[in-house]
Amino acid sequence: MKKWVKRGQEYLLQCKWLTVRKDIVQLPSGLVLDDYYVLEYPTWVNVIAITEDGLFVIEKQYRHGTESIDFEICAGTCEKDEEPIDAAKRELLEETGYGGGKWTMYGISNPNPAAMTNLNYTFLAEGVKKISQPHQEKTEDIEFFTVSRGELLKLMENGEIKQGCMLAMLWKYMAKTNSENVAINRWLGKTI
Amino acid sequence: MGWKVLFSEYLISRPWLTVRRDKLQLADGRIAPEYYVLEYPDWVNVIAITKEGKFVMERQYRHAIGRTDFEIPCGIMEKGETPLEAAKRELKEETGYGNGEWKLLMKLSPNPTSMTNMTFCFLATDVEIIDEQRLDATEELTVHLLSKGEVRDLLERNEIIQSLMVAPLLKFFMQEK
Repeated sequence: MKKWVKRGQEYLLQCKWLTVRKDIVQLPSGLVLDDYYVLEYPTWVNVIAITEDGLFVIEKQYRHGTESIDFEICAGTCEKDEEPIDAAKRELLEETGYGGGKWTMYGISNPNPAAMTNLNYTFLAEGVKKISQPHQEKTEDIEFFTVSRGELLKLMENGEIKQGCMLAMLWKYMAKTNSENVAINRWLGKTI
Repeated sequence: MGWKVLFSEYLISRPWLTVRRDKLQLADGRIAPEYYVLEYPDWVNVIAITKEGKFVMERQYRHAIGRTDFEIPCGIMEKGETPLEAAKRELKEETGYGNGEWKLLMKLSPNPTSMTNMTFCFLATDVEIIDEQRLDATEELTVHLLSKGEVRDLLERNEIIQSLMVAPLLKFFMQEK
């Protein structure tokens, strides 16, 4: 499938939290759109963090877009020149005080490829422990908890975790570690 | 834990983008002077499985990330439509498939930090061809019927990466016996 050709662009808004670009694009059919809006974001990261006791580190905070108080896994954005794994470790430490353990790249997703430029990298951190006090940013007001796998699954099923990039990888984790689902385990192998 | 809106203004109000800037008072009294909110209508998507057990998948170029990936049919709710009506309409328009049994699989948000909308994900089984494809002028997509194993392989190879689609697909695979 052919890509669209960008014939021009203009930045409508450029600030720390939001960059809006208006593109003039030509589709393969020849149709030209003179106002295709693109939202430029840095790379996102999030972490499925599991303690040495097998509990999941989750957070609760107010989210102004949906005006709701949501449960989440730890998440953040890459700073300039920061590798995703370093951003993920930094965010977990800053938001919750948890760190250490074994870290692996678990998956890649994107929130909205039609309009948002960024990818989200999810990391699995196994065997984390509390190593410092949290140092949250000015607009962050985060409570954090540790919950069992069953409790986490319940939060996912009843919509108390609602963010797409978090749910995508959490459902991947649940599918791969569901011992009741013999077919899935045969397909994926028992390992994560 | 909620925040209070002290002042609000619209910076951009276009058919495809609405940007609002809020001045907020946080729970502890601090002021956040510029918080950007993107207002969108709700979205829908559909895991559609034919009577023969094939998944109705699409491939479409996505300009913001510059990639073509596999997707499930999706779209935007129109005014006055229920999520189910929107999902049935989008599946029919984009692929020509319809009928069958429908149920809501999950609801999720692309970005609760700054986007206002939710996505309703449906599972439609035993769908069949009921019409020809009728795409919008800006839609260019191809339709592909894939087996369950092929869809699982795409997920494993990160060839389906739209989070709003990956989440319901994996929930579906997790829950089927």
